[in-house]
Amino acid sequence: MKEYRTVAQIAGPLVFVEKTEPVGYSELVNIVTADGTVKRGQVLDTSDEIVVVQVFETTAGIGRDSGIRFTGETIKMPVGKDMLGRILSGGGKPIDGGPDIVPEKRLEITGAAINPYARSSPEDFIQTGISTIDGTNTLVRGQKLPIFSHRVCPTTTWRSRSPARQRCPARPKSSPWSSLRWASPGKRPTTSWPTSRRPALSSARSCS
Amino acid sequence: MEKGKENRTQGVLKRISGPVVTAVGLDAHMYDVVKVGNEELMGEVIKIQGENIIIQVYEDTAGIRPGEPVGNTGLSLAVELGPGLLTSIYDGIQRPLEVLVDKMGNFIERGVSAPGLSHEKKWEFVPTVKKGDEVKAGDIIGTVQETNIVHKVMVPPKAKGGKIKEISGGSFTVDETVCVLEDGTEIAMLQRWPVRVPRPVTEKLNPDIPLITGQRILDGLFPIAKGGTAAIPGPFGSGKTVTQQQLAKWSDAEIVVYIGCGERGNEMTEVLTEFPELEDPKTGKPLMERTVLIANTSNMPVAAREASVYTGITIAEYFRDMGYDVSLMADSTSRWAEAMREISSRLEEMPGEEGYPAYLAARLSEFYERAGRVISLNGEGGSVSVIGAVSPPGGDFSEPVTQNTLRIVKVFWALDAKLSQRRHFPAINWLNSYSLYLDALNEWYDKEVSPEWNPLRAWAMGVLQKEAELQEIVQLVGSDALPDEEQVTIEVARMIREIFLQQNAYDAVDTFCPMSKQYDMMKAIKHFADLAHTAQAGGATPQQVIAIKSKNELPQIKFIRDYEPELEKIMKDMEAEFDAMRTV
Repeated sequence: MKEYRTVAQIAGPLVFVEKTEPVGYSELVNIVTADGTVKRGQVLDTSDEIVVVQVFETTAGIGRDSGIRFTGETIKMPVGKDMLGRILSGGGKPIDGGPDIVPEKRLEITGAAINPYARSSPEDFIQTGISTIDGTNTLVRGQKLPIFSHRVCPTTTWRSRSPARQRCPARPKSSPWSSLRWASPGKRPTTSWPTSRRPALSSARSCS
Repeated sequence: MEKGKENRTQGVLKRISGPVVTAVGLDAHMYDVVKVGNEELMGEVIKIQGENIIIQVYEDTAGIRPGEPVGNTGLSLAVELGPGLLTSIYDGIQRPLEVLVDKMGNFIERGVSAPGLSHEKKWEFVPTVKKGDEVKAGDIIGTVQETNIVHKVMVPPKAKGGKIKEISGGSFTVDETVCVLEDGTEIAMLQRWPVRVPRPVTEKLNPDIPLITGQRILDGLFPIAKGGTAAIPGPFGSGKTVTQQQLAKWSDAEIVVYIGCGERGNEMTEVLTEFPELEDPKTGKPLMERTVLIANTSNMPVAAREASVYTGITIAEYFRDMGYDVSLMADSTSRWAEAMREISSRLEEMPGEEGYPAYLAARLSEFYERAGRVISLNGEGGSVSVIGAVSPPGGDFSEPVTQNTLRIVKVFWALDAKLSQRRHFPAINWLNSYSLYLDALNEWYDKEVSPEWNPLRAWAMGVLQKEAELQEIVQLVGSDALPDEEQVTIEVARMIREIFLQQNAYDAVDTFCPMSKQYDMMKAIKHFADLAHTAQAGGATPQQVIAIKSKNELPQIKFIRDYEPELEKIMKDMEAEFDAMRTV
């Protein structure tokens, strides 16, 4: 792999490299500093005159003598079933002292957009065991959910507690309403939505 | 292009910066469609700077390098128009999402192109003109039964026209020639039209016919005209979706174009699954049969989002030219403006307010101005009404997108989360909403509903505004401190709110309320107010007036289809009660 020593400018997290051969947009970059440390970055802007690299770590130690290696591929990471139970760094490298992950696949970390036509409506109830969530602000499989927090709130506890307790009850057997039935026997609460708003999906449309 | 110089249709990439790339060595015009890189990603020329051609790319540009080729197609970004549009679901640049699933699976990958219309499917073409007839641009030459909607095949707007040499009915694909003119021009059912150019019309008409929606607060108090523009701000949980669906279902527009622009994927899925299942109340067929959906979810490429509203309105204009009333819903124009902002900052343009480009207002009005009621080139009257949802971040109406939208649109339906929390539906705030079409529409209401309607509406608005004033006093000192007459005003306002304004979208009868019924309901409330006024003048106390029993029956008529006998009975009872009060 070619290494360029043509750093023109370093400003904050950005490194500007001159006189390169064509470099792809979004490409992963390795920067080798004088003491041999390798830092990672990504191409933010590329042209035949100058390439702008955003460094993921501090630029401390990078100088005009640093070597820039363009890897020729966008950021991908190895994935596989073995990943369960492992602890990874933000860059996807194991930091639990274990061996490297044996990849089943290498996937782009940016992912691709789901075709809206191929999506199915999120409608599976997730039971967290936390009454205020299950009861009034129900979690649904396939939903995205931000947790807004204040510095004194125990966000971390919550975040780890809810997935640990998640259950996805089979829908027909234990409807979320079943526990409410005693209050109004034979009749669902009036707050239930009309069934037409929650159409059943044909299997052809559902997303794998 | 300079004389003597060859047309250079192939250039090379010089710079890539997100969705914006620069090419050199290419002859291009503004808004030409180009194919970028080895993967031939679709892009559009948005700026020319000497040799540098700046292009926005509709797909992800990761991995593209300087030096890769760029080819100019010489065409501007255009949509395919013809039979097959209805029931389709497109992305922002008119690629059918259904076809994309077949081609590349559940995720959207790069460099796949798909035509907007099926070029294989055969349609039954029935000519409406014959050999020897003179036709000009825009004229209707035949029809195709597309769904339950008749698709009218027109001479393209830019064609010269002339005498028909040959025309025949039968089964054709959209590409096949159905008609030949004497000068040799061949006309197929397929037309292409550049999305950024409004389709020509003969004449724009005054928007003086209301778009009847069957929703009392809209038709009665804040009507939108056919060919008008309206904005709905959609705070979270205010029932924007239901309101839009009611409009799609009940408004007397024949064609619905729905643009999901930068919406959440899950929300778009809801629309995609519900629209095909919703029944069109007028025909009993799926609502989808008269609908075109355009979806660009929040994680699909931004440049295509910028294009999606233009794609949508061009399709709407095409149906308008056939003589249909079209309603176009854009959800949400805020996401569209944000896409513009992202591209603009990549172009290193001077930012305006909150980083939006300085031309934000111009682009917004360019879009909304394509609404209108018109006489098309072929003499048919049609309209495009645009209803744009705005989602101001943090509900802040002073931000530039909302402000600029409000400057352009003439109707504002202020959805209010507080009202929906109070279970007042549709949650449209009657104090903040407005319609500037009232003056233009007065004549229609005079003629089609009743000459009494306009004064009745003014009276109702007056009562509601008075109530808002009185409520402040009530909160301070309690309702007993109010003068007798005003205590009754508060009661009348409550009746207007609960009987007239509240409407149940899920009730088979109440979901659509014809104008005549709206008039009768409002007249009944006014009649009560008048009787109460007379009774008070004769010495009745407000408690006596409020205790009138028959008025409590009034809300029931909302849910009765043939309500007239019931209403008459209630009104007779009411008069009898007031009479009894006088004799006591």
